[in-house]
Amino acid sequence: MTADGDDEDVSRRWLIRALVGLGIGIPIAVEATTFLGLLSSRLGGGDSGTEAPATTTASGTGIGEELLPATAPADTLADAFVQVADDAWRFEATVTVANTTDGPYTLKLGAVTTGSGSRVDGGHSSGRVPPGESRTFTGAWPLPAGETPATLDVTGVRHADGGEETTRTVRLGDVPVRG
Amino acid sequence: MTYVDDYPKAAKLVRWHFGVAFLALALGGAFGLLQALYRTGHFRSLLPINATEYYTVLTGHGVLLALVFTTFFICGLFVWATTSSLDRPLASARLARVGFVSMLVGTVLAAVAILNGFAPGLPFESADVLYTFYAPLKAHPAFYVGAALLVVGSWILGAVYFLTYREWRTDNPDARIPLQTFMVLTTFIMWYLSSIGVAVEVVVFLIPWSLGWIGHVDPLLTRSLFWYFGHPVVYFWLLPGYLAWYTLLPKFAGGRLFSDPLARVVFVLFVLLSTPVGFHHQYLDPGIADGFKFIAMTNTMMLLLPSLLTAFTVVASLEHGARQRGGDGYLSWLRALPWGEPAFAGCALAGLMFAAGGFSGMINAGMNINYLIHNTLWVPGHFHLTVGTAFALTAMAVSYWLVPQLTGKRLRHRRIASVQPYVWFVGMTLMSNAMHRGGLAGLPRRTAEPLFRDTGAAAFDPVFGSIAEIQFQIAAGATLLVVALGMFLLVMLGTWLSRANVAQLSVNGHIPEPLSGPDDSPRVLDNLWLWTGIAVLLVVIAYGLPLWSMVADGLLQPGAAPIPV
Repeated sequence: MTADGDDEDVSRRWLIRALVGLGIGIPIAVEATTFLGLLSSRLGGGDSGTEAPATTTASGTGIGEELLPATAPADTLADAFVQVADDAWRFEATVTVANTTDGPYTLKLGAVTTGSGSRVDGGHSSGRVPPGESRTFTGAWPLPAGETPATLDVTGVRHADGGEETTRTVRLGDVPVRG
Repeated sequence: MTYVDDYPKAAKLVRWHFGVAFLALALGGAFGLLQALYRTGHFRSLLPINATEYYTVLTGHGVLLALVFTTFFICGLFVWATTSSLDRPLASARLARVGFVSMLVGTVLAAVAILNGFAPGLPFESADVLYTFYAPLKAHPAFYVGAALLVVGSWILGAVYFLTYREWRTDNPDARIPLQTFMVLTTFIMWYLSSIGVAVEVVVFLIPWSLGWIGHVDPLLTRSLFWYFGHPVVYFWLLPGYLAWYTLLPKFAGGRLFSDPLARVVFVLFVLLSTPVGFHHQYLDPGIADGFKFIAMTNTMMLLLPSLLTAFTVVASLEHGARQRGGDGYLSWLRALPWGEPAFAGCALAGLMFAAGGFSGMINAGMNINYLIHNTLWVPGHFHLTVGTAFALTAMAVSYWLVPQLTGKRLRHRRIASVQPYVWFVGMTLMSNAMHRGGLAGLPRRTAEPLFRDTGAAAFDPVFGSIAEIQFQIAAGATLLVVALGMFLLVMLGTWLSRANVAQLSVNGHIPEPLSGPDDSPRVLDNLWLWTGIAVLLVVIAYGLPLWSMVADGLLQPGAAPIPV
């Protein structure tokens, strides 16, 4: 065998050793880390295993729930979804206002903030709802493609009390995305 | 003399099959990367798809890889295995070509229907129904007709294998069936028995439904028919891998198969047990009595037996090969194996990863713990170990050895080929490990927006690590897999396009005799009618009553008369 042949043979042998070392070593390291993580979490009282179920912390106002629970009129989120289009997404929210108070009431839907932090202004209103009546209205906000709504600014106005306003930034629960 | 010299027509037919398989692999793999990056939120703004098109990509990825790549590669491989082990040409090359054309036309129809998701102006409406195509998702009829033609084409190829065997049997009335042919025939017995389910689902229900001839179908019935086929199809992918591990891997290792009889027992067990297991995909479906789900679980767990027998036989064969190469010691013989040979490394690493897939499969099959991971990312994590590696990496490894013999051309880019199985192995480890962990945290599968929004990660509870880290690991693993796929395709393209007969091939098609041959086993193992009859009986026991109960509750609408009126 020539010197070149020897060099090539040695180089090939090292390549194979490196391949086997990395190819087997990386998976063993990944799986060992996983296994130790599981043991530590389940037997060692790891942080994540002792936390309360995360769904409770992530939940926001969902369909069928009130937007302003602290006010007397019932402002119920009747429907909400994101409509997917080619280049832009549109958030639509339908709210039913049941005015159970003695005076007229108006609900306003303001800006939407997406999960990525984009803010989209809005100016939708139920109009003045007389006492004892209900009204349903829908607001729509154009969203950047790929983004979904995280919060919605809501304002309730009680006209009988000198226009007293209750404002809240409502954190939204899971809003379905429709194609 | 190489295979292409001995059987030029059959070699051409295998090349056609492999060519289509590799095209599907390339497109399906590219879809896989798009899908992984989109759903993990990496470079999403740079990707050419939106959330709706994600499902087109997902369907394309599943259909092209799990159905098209696998079926074409398997049918081509079996043409080689049948002709070379029986040492005779196909009984009817023309019929085999009809089968190939049927599969090709079916693939084109289904692929165009799927790709309509990107450009609705194409001839068909979209078919974003995923590769698990059952009601209530509805595709354009072209998709279902294409799927049916793909299956029918494979049936025709199967008939050619049986006809070739019958001719051989006439000339060799007392001989034992050669092992590779035995594996081909038993695999196709299982395939015929199980693919009847999807044929009935598609032809009787989905095609008339998609054409508007019938207004309703029963989702439970079509799901059950799909999964009647949907789990055995896993073994349709796996058994050709077993064929390679039993008959080729010992040769690659420098040795001989440890036991031919054990290999036959394993394939017989797969014929018997592969089909009556589908209900383990429907543990959460109402309308199926728990007892039948329990039978499916029991049968599935019993399928561990042939897999464990395989692990024993293949590892014993590898050890024999390593010792022939000078290896010694309890474990240090492993170092004597030819880890630098891509055909060996690919098959060995695929087998190793399949063992991990078997363990996660036990979780899927368990009636109680399945509920923890049902419809989560755990499930794709599992089947990327099985079909995505046990089959796919074995197919690539076998190609490194077989394509030179099909073309008469030396393998090109050998160094890239040597590295490729390791890149695939590391990529799959990263991706599948993260998918399993994500599944344990409750991350859903089959969705473009698993986190819904950036703050959505708080809804999931990883056992350790964070959702962001899991997502990154999936994206990194998928990227490595596509790099490995590119390396494989480069080697194949380089080999295919090189000039023939410029140098002697470095491989040969000789398969050494097993250490324990067929004469050490009872002849009843070769009684294919017996095993087929028992397999049918087991299917009737597992599926007869539940399917009858669904039909009796209304063939098309639950609560209606059994026969549509």
